[in-house]
Amino acid sequence: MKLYEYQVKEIFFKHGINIQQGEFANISQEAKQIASNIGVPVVLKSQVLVGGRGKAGGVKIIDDLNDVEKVADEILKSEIKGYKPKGLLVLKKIEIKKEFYLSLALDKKMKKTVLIFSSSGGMDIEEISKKQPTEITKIYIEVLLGIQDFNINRIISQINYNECIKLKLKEIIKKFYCIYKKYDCLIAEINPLALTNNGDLVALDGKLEIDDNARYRQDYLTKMENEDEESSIELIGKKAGFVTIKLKENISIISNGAGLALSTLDLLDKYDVKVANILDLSGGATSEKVIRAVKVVIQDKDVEGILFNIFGGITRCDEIAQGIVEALKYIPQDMPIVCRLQGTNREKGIGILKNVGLNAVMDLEEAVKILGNKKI
Amino acid sequence: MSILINKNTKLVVQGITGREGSYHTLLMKRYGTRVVCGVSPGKGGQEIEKIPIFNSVYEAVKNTDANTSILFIPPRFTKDGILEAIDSGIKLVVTVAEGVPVHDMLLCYSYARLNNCILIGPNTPGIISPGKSKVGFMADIIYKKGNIGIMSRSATLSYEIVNNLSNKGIGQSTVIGVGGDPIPGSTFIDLLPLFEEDPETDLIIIVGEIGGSDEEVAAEYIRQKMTKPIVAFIAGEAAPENKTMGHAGAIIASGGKGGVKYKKKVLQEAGVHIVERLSEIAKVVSTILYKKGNFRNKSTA
Repeated sequence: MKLYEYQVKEIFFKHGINIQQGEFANISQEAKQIASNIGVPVVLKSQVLVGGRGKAGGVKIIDDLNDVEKVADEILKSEIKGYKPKGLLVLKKIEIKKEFYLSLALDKKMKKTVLIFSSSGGMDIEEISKKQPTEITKIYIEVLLGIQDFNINRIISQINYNECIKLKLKEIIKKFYCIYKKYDCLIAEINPLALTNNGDLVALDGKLEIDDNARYRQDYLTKMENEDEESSIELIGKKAGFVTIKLKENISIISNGAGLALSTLDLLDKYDVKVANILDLSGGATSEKVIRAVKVVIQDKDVEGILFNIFGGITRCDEIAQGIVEALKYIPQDMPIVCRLQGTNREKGIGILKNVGLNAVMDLEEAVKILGNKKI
Repeated sequence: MSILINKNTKLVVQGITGREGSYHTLLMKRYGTRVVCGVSPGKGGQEIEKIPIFNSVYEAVKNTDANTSILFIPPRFTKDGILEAIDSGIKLVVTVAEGVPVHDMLLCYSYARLNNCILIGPNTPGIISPGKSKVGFMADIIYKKGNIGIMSRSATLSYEIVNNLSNKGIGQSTVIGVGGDPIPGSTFIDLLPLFEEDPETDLIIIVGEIGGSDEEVAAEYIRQKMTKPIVAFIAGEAAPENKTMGHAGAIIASGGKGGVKYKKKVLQEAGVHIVERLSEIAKVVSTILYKKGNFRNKSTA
């Protein structure tokens, strides 16, 4: 789950990382009140979970207090890449001398946490990494040791500022690593980390993405339900306990296992059958789970046909078949359904499906051909 | 021979009194695995089908010389279970739970390496050496003893491939689920050297999928070190591009790419035979084995 900037900054503040003075506002009148409290000039920032907010007009600097309400209203009404803002942040504008980039993330290739620092923050870090890779320092952190001074010394030796600023940077990196661990972050980013004219280091923007598998121990997060930039069917699936992927066309694939679902998608592609969504039942699927899954995918208005691809190991095909039969009452009558059942209790499962007149086969390619011939 | 597990495997089941744990313990035992004991805190002294239960892995190892562990315990307790097994001297740990927090796995991964322990999973069906032993929950009926080594990121895809092979009379030496979670304890590159050395394995199948860079890393190793023929199936070519995970993610990904086309390309360049359809795997495998002259399985369908 991704956190909004205002939520990230609450966490930063709680852990002693400097942020700009300001507050979160739900409505434009609130924004004006906050602006008059902290004094202009202020920065108004749309609170959305998608990137590229600045370029899309979601960030505005206001010098005149009388303009705040009107501009805040505009920001609150403007969607960014199709997403409605959750509110806005009203922040005191500060004078910046230099911008840095700082992040901690999981490097799947190295199976380690990587600390990334650049003395050119603010702008597009992806661009910097391509054009000036030497401006970026990557440090892999041994989890058994945690972040050590020698790790950080490699970073602060790269900047040409006085010892006081170096020490501040060192402290921020340590606090930031604590946040990354404490909140089970997959990615934590401060960009830009600004050096002000007063010699303070301030987090101007921040991102935290929390590991969904660790939410049970993040009490703070259970109150928040941030609807990521996922399309609604993916979110409906997630709430029902499934991984669902939205695509553009019209067939729904329900499968037990991510790999199997993906390879089914590949095969359909080879037969030129186009897919609306993929849903992974994952291991140990029961008939109740099948019904729940069907209820999810048919909420996708693009769906005009369903392919079940099940390979039973622990999952029993007869139980899946029973679930499909019970789920029929939720599926429009004219919607084509093709079922492929293989593995544990496949004969029994196919028998159950054929009894109610459904297309049920053991061979995947045959199932795909049947679906292709229906010319949806 | 086979790899990782064999007749010398002495298995302790952590979480043996749970629903899945007790059920699969019996299935593993029936398949021929030497299940020497189980662990369930607070239930030490009890038995399940004459298998003794201990309160801790430490006691279990002390009393039974268990050398391999499988965890049938929920994701939130997995970290402690893995660390306990490693700390008790277990050298092969298999963990089946799906959805272990990433920070927990980072720790387990590192601690396992430090102690020369091979960690398989999480989110894996386990390991099976057909006809000898299984440490996992796969439906063993589809497997057949033979000379193909298989490593898969996806459980159901490995079933699919094994089923195809077995139906055509092609058996397997060892089949390993490396697991589908973001931080697997072992990946292809960790297991390739074991298959290379195993006299019972003549050909290796890699079952990969979109995302991560374990296939790319394996390709580099294969190019340099592997002599046995390798076949790969990579799922997800038609899947939408990964949603960007923020800037930091994009930088990390830029080295590994992670796309299916790229994975296939680098594997192919390393001499791996790429199979485009699951239904073609048996044919490709038998052709390669036949050419090499080590088509050991007599029954061909």
